[in-house]
Amino acid sequence: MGAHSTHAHGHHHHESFITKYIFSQDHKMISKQFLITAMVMGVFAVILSVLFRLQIAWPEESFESMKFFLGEDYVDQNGLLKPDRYLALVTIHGTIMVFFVLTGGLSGTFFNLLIPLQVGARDMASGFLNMLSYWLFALASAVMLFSLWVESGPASAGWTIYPPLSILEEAIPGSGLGMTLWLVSMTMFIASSLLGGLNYVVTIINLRTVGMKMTRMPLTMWAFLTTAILGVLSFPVLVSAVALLLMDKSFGTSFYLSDIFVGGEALDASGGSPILFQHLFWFLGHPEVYIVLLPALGITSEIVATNSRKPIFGYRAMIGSILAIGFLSFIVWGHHMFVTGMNPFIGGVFVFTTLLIAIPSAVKAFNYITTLWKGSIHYTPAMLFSIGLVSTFITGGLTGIILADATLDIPVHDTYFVVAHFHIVMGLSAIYGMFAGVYHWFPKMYGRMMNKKLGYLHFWLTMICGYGVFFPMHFVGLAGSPRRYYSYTEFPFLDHVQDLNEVITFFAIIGGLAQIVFFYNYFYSIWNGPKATKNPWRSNTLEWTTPVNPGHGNWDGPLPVVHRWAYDYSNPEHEEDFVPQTVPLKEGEHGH
Amino acid sequence: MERDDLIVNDSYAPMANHSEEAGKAIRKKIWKVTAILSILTAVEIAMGIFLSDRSADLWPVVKWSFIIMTVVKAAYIVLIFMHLGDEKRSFRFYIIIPYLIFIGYMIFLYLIEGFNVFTY
Amino acid sequence: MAGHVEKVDAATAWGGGRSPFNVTYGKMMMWFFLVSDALTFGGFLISLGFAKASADSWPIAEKVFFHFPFTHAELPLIYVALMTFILIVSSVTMVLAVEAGHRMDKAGVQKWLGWTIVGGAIFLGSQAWEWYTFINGNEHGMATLTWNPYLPENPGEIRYTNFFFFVTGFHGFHVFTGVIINAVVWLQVKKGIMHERGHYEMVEKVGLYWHFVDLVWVFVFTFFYLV
Repeated sequence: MGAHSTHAHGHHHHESFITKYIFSQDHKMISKQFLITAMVMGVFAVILSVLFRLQIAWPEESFESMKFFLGEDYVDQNGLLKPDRYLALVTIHGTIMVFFVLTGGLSGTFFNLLIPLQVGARDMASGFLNMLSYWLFALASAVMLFSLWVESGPASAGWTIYPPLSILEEAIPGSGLGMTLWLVSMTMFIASSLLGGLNYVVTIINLRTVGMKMTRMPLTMWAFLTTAILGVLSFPVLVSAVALLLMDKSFGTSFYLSDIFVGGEALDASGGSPILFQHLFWFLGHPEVYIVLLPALGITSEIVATNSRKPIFGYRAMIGSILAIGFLSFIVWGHHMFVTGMNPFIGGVFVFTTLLIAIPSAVKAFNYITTLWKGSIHYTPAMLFSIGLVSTFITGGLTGIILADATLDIPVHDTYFVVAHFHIVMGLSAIYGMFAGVYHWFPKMYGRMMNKKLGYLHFWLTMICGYGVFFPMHFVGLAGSPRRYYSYTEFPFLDHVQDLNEVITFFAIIGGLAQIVFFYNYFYSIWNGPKATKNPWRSNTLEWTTPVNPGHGNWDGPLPVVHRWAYDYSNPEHEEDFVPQTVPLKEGEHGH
Repeated sequence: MERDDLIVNDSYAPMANHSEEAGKAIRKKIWKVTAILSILTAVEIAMGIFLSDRSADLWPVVKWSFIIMTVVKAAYIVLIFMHLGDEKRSFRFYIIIPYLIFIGYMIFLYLIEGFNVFTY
Repeated sequence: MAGHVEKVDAATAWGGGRSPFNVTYGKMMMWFFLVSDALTFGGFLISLGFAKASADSWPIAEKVFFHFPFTHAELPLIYVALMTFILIVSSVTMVLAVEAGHRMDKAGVQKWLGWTIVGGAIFLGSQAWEWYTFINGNEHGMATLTWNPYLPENPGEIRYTNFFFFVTGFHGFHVFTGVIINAVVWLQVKKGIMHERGHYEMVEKVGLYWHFVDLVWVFVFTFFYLV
């Protein structure tokens, strides 16, 4: 193992279908595998969300679609969704979106595609571990989907799997086999993300090409490096939390359980505290938010600079704020737990550290805007999605400041206000970043271009529906609707927001259907899109110096040599408005 | 595919390998650290046997000296046995500092929460 | 490096093709993995701290661990001291194996790595015996996941036995995998694979893992048996 295997490869050995498309060790193929797996998972998660939105909007109606998509087990004899299955839908939607689409999908796709290409390496440090990482992810995805159709139902305790609900089968049937499968799936997912994360970190640190100083790396690389480190440091604590949970669930220990009565009968458990689980879980859970968000921000930095034809504003400030966000994300987790009766002193600590995050976030938002300022903006679909990200990042960030403050958080805690906040700031933002990345780097993935007009259609539909869903949700939350309730029509004080719930569901359906445009565009363009040129966006970074369809090894000749930073756009000393990183400095020119 | 981007085979050896004489010095250091670790463990055990009265005035001192000795032992293992002390300064910091910060923060908060949690 | 004839501008010292930390990628991966694993163990031990802090009372270790094989005398902590010592010694033999590897001394690596495996196996055996006496409990009953005989005034506080079984078990599992990995590497060394390669970096990497296992035990020892 180690560096030894590097000599084993011949120059032009024949690759079979299996080694090229299935058990591939080429980072570009692994990236496509991640993307397509994440797309499949995303489709499931969106369908689940539309189904439970139908339930929220019209709880008394029966829908054929429930039975069609989910099977007989999910509906009662009147054709209505069963209450415990409603919770299962919410849980699996959250889990798939957070872990499988926005963590595995976003990081897996773009880290694999871009890290070797942008730092100038032939492949990831260890292609084998990279392949293993993908296949563990695929297996985890399969188990998670499979758990939807086990007889007792999938995990139903919310994606945060708070005990005691997630432990006690007596409390909800989904905490039986479904929860076990959830834990198995997440264990494989964590292993996958650990293997991937180790690979990403060492590749960026060790395999940079000649001249690629850390301070010349594109901001995407900084964001990806920070994200990978966050993953390596935060997922292990989830392992602790999940391992103890599994012990409580399957072996009768009491780490999290204390004096519980189910149906009037006391359980054996005594002594433990579920608060412990929440602390362990959110030590992962909060960095996880930035594991989802930072890659999208990195992708945006690159796309905004390229398509404004301007250097990114405040390159070093951007690096600093990425690192600051990464650091702060570890010390703020308690703001998810303000209502657990935590010690007021600790509450104060968490309010303070959480509010600090606003500073680097604001630096990033303003730097994007100042980069756009007076730029000669090219409105490609990727650019539109990036600008959309800046918009949602600001909108969602503002409600974040409200939720960071314990006194303001407590009244809206666990209402739809929170749901709206995190869906805008981490759901929409990250998914926009993902779309932006796909539109921008599609030519590098497949050597063809995606259709621009369909891209615009996709963007405007997604943007309008995104806000259409989550903007009214703030008001639903402020009116006092708690999360994860089966039906809101039972409460007279919520009657006036039921119309809003119907509006939200309407936009959710349209927004879900709008993604068909994207899928059509994507799969049609793989085979039938117009052929791409080598550098279609006239961009500076190294990936555009490779051939149109790079083989395994990326560059045909020797590795490129880097002479400047990635953001030399509209440099007056050069004729072209972009200067690739491989162009040597002119006489007397000052490089970065 | 030839990997000219990795540190290849031959360049590892000069980075890490050393001569017979250097080996002698290293072995001496290893035995010295072994002695230190053994003595610390012996002291811990002795204190554990003879000074273990939880209600004594001395107990907080004993407890903290346990923790300090543990950290000292850990430092010897990490820095000498795992050779982190021989790595570059920057690498040393990247490995240790984030860990210490986050673990320290966790210990601080969890203990406050632990004392707080059943007191409602 | 083949092919790099082009000169880099003088502003940078970065020549590529090497590690800024002088660490190969494999070793760096191992280090980051260990940091990650250390956080898992950190999570467990901090949870133990949380449990102790929130408990009304907690058993006193010297009153629990006083057994020694083949004797009925009360020898508090002596047995676990022995276990600790065995693990430290196996860590020492491991670092000697790594040192021998740096001198390309195949016989030396084989010898010291062999002793490391033996030490690990003895530790596992000792742990089995310790679990056996622990489970056997005392006059208040057997120690199980739902009964804690070592705290007669409050046997409902079962987190003590829970954490003991779980954390020492998790650590024991790490020791077990370490022994297996060491054995595989020992076979590779014996076959001469490492020697052909020109370096014994693999021994160094599994060595890191083995020291890590020892490191964890140092903390487990303190927080379960002493404090």
